[in-house]
Amino acid sequence: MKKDRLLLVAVVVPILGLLALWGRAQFNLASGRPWVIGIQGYDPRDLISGHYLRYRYLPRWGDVDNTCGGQELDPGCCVCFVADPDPEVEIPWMNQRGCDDRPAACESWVQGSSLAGPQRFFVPEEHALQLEQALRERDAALEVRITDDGVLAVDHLRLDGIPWTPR
Amino acid sequence: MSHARKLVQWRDAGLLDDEAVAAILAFEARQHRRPVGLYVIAGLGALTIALGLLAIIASNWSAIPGGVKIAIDLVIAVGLAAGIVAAHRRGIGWLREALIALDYGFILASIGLLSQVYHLGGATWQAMLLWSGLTALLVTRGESRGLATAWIVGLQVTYGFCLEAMDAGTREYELFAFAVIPAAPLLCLLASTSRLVRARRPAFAAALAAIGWAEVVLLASVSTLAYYASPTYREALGAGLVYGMAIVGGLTALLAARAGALVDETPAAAAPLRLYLVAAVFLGYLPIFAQLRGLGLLGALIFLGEWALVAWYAHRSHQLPLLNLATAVIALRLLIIYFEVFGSLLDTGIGLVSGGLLTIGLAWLWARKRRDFAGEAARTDGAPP
Repeated sequence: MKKDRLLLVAVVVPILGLLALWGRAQFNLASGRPWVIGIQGYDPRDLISGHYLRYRYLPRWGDVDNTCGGQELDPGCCVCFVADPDPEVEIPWMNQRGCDDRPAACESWVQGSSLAGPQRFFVPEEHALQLEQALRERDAALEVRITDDGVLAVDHLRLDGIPWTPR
Repeated sequence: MSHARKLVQWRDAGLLDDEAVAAILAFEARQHRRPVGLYVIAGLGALTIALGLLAIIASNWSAIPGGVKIAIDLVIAVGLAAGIVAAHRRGIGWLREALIALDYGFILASIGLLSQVYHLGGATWQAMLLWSGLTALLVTRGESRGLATAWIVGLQVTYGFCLEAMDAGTREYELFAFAVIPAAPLLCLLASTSRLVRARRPAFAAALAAIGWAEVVLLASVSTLAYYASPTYREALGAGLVYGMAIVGGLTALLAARAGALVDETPAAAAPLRLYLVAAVFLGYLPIFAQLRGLGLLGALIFLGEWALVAWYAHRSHQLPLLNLATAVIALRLLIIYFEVFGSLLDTGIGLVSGGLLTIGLAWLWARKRRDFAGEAARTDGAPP
């Protein structure tokens, strides 16, 4: 009987784990503050690698000098997001600082490791070529969400400001 | 059955009586009742399905919305869980093992699916670690060797991804990751000596020991190549290397102390086993730690010495196939040394003569020890002296 109960626990644990992972991803998307960040292919010769688009974020640095990491996104720093005063401009101003140096004006604050370096966006295999061409010719950006505790969740890909959906 | 005719011949020759023949036939009949073929086919089927599911997910079935995909995935996970419990309650062992194997692969595929749908940018090692953690209790409910092997391989792949991530960090982490590579097989061997594992999961203990030994011998053999070239890690003998070596050294000492548990039936084999373990680990680190370089001949000699220890262990533990393998590897390595010493005519001549003599000596020793071995095996099998 005890063995039976242990087996029940053993088969339930992975399902609970998957549910937790799903719930967390959904919560981050639902509760985070929305932002749009420009992106570009990580390697211009090879934008699509298998089933995912390799890209990097294009930060829009503001007038205030970065006090950490210079002009490159640095995984050891944190990035402050402030919305552009012009409501027509969706891409926010960004400023990179030490993680213990959050200015009060920041509307979102995220660890640089969530933004720095190559990123991956999964795409359907059959749309890979079409998307690769579109990325070369059009402005690409990502809709992301950043929660109050600094978790960044990727939502949609945009091409020329229009959310891209596989057709 | 093929052995039945032999048994009749032995009985007719007076080597066995009727009672012994009947007992052997009854034993073999019991052995054949175990559905080994069924286990293999079911295991292969489960593995094929798991791989198929991975491929489907990887190909992005874009027509279905993400939320629906995940819901279907969870329904399948619940179905598999119910199937495992039902098979267990009905006592269908082979089906339970196959479903556990399938669920093990399916959970990894599900984590992959969630990563795709939500574009989770985490590293591979994080996904692998999550998978190993979530499925550890499930897989250890299994009892077959195939499942145990799949699990150990899964754990070691996870360990490899973790080390790779560490390797991409600072110099100290890189050195540490390099130094703790041997911990994987040593931990397998250590786990295989656990009384609890042996009593409750004998198939797991056997798989742990088999994989652990194969990897220790492979690592020890490959590490002798480091004597040929300048060590990659020569510039920095950092703390990372020392910490890693201390961990591996501690595991080796613990294993040497428990060597008796690795050679239950042949206690005389414990001595060569201890010596091999300590020598393999120490000599594996030596070229890096002592900054040795360009000492190919020393590396070759260490290789031969280590395999001689394997042969000694095989002799003491009465494992004729292992003794044959060790002898063949030594002979092959000697052959490679001939080519390594090719240089001037004098060097080549001396190398070939001494190499040839060594090979003939080895063949003589092997033939003699093989005879001794057969004699000892016959004596230990119950023949009165």
